[in-house]
Amino acid sequence: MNSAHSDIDRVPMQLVQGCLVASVQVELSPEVLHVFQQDLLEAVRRTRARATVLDLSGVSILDSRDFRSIERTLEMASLLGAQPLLVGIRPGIAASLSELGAQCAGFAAFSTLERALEHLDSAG
Amino acid sequence: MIELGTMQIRDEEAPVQIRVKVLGLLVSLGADEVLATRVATAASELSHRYQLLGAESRCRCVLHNEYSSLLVEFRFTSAHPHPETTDLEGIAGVMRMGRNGTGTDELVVQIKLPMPRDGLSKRAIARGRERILQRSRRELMDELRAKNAELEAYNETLEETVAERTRELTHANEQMARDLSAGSEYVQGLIPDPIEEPVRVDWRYIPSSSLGGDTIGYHWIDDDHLALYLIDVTGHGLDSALLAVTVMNVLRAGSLAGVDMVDPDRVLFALNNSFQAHHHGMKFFTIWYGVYQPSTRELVWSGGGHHPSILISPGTEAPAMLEATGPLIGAVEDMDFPAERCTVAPGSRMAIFSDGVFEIIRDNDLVWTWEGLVEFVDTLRGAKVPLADALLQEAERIKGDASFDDDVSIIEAVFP
Repeated sequence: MNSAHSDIDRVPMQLVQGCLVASVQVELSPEVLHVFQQDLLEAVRRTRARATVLDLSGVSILDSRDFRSIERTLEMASLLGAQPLLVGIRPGIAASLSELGAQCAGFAAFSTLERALEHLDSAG
Repeated sequence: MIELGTMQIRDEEAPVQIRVKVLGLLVSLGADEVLATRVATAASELSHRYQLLGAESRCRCVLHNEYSSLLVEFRFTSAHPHPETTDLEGIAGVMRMGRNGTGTDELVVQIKLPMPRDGLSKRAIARGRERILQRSRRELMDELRAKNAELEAYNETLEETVAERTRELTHANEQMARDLSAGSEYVQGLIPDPIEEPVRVDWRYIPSSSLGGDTIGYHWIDDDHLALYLIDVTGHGLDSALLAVTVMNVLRAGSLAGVDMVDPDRVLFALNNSFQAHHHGMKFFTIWYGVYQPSTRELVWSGGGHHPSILISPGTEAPAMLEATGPLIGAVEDMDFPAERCTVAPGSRMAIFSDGVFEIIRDNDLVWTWEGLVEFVDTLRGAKVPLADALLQEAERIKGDASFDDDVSIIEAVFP
């Protein structure tokens, strides 16, 4: 672990059926998002995950800036060969992001982790 | 209007802190989650934009109790012009420009909530205030770091202070050691040179590390009377040494009024009355004082609180103990110090010595005593080695090294 990031909350990740599942349970500050980006890309490279599933069910607010940061991180993971998926976005976040004009074109979104994994299985 | 508090927008962490507080406040006041999330998101977006302006901005939170509804306002102020906000109107509910009591423009985000069934309680207001004013984890960490830095600075100062005091103590100790060493040299410098005839007198003096109270001396009172004496003041240190030197100077100068220094009993009687402990820092001393007259070969002596000196004479079966029966000097006035006398055979050797020679402590145990010393001296009757050297070497052997806890003083007289 980088000692410069020792005080910052980390997003836990685990490999499930070849998919890297990152479950966000902390408030997404710019620092947290920066460290998350580094951690996720390193984990994708190390595990050769076929997909990245970002579970946002523990996130209560996501503004446009946070969303753009996540979007970029998932695009990077996609370039490493991991298909990006979002799960668990709360209604308030969905409404706010939609009002703010956020696009979700680059990746699929699912209500639960199970549905996301089913989607990946069915897609082969 | 109920003032809940003001949140500062200082750094990029501020939007996160503000949105969490806004969301929590609105939910606690009864807003549904979607509405609360939208307004909190708007607050976050706004805070980002104010933070990017570079100047410190603020978000003030107030409540308006409007009977059937509760109006919550988040009022943003800044030293800079307010940022563009049209894209936020869809999520922020009512957003308008206003002016506060000091005439400053404010960007106001309003949300109207149904009044709770029991009205707005004081407890709810207190909780809302606490939520808005709650410090962030970063602020708490910053405070903790600042406190820690203060503590470290204090510790550094403390270490410096301790080091400084240690240096002072070391310096004082070194000065004291130098003083004690100088004191030892001074005391030693007062001891006369050895004499060869008509009586051969030599001495050994090893001061203890803390400077004891021993002094030894001998001098001719007149052409036919040689005084020999050893003084041992109680305690260690400069005060004991000073008293010992004073007593020695009195003896040397013969400055005891009306006393003939050839009479040991009179000398000690006068010394005892002159050096009462309550006038001399509660210091007592022991003394062995003898006078030898070569023309008659007579030795007269007296002592106060002192162990015997030892006389080894040719042809005798055992060393003679030259007992001193007087009391410790300085304790009680007008005490008698009976004199003893004997004739000294040619070839006799006498040793006058302090208790530092035989009261030897090693590893907290007394390992040599007077009885042991007497037995040892008995073995020296036929030996040619000087008594002083033999005693010293045996004491060092028993002690294990040449450092003694008390002064070691020996006068050896050889009577041809």
